[in-house]
Amino acid sequence: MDCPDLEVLLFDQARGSGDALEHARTCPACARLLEEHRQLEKDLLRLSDPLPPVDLVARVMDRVAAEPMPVRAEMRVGLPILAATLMAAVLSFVATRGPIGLLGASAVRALVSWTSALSGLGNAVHAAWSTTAVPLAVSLSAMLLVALVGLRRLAPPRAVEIEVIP
Amino acid sequence: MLAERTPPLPFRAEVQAARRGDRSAFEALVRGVQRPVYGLCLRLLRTEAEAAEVAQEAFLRAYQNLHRYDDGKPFDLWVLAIARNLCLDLLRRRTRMLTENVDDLHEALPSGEANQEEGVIVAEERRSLESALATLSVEDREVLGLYYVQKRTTKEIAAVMGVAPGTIMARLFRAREKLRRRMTAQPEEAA
Repeated sequence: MDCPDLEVLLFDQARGSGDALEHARTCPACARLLEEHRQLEKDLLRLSDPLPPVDLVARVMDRVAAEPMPVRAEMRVGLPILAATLMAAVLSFVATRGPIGLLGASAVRALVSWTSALSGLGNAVHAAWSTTAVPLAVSLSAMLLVALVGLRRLAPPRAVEIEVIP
Repeated sequence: MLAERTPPLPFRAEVQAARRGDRSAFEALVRGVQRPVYGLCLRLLRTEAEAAEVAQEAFLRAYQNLHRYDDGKPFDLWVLAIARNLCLDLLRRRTRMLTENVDDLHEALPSGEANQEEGVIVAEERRSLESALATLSVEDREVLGLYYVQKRTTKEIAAVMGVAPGTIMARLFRAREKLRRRMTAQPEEAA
């Protein structure tokens, strides 16, 4: 049998089993290569990061002190929403008094028509419920369950997996 | 490789406090991750002054962008990724080849404390290993440093390097093989 690719051999070594590792048991060249890698790994694992300069934290904090306070994410989102709401309120106030009152009237008409539509939809749901309550309940429950499973999958994991280096 | 679940991410409380403007909480964060951040910078840049400067810059960027940090990910990996990008930017900007003497690196890399911790491996062997490491490419030094020196998982390394986790083991094996060749070539070259 020909000697396997180095990567295959090393993958098998990391995994602890495999055809390449079996081959290495009878091949002195591959066995020597694996032993050298094993020894190298052992030496590498004994290395450690150097200590940082003693004043690194102080120097970072000096630069941080010269910076403005970081703006919180809620503020970044909340302030524009607040500003937009205020603007809408001012506009609606002006609309009821000024020449752009037509805008306010249109908005109210749209709201009234939507209310009628919603009322019709409610009646339809009531009629459907009174005739097919059980199938509706089952379908809605199934949809809710699927939605919850989907949301759970979207949620970020709260723990990270770690690998233990052999 | 075995996998197991870890408790909630560290540094979460400090990050939240720092976001509220608590600078002492941010200082605690810097203290907590300064060693791996500086260690990675030094391994990539190979000069202490530059490594310290880039590490500072990385922490400052982290402070300025705390609102963008995703709580669901480890804070140290986030800062490591910032530091790595800054190091790569600096390396790209360098107009001249690094002609640094490897002997300077002997003094720059592992500290006296590391010597005491090692116990088994003698200083000469460690120096020869660091010398061989220093001759590898930035990418090889990075993956070996993160995996063996910082004991990061392949997933964590992938997060720092911004690549697929499945590629890390292959990169690691290739880098280790290059290192092995350098190590075995050294005595012959010296002879």
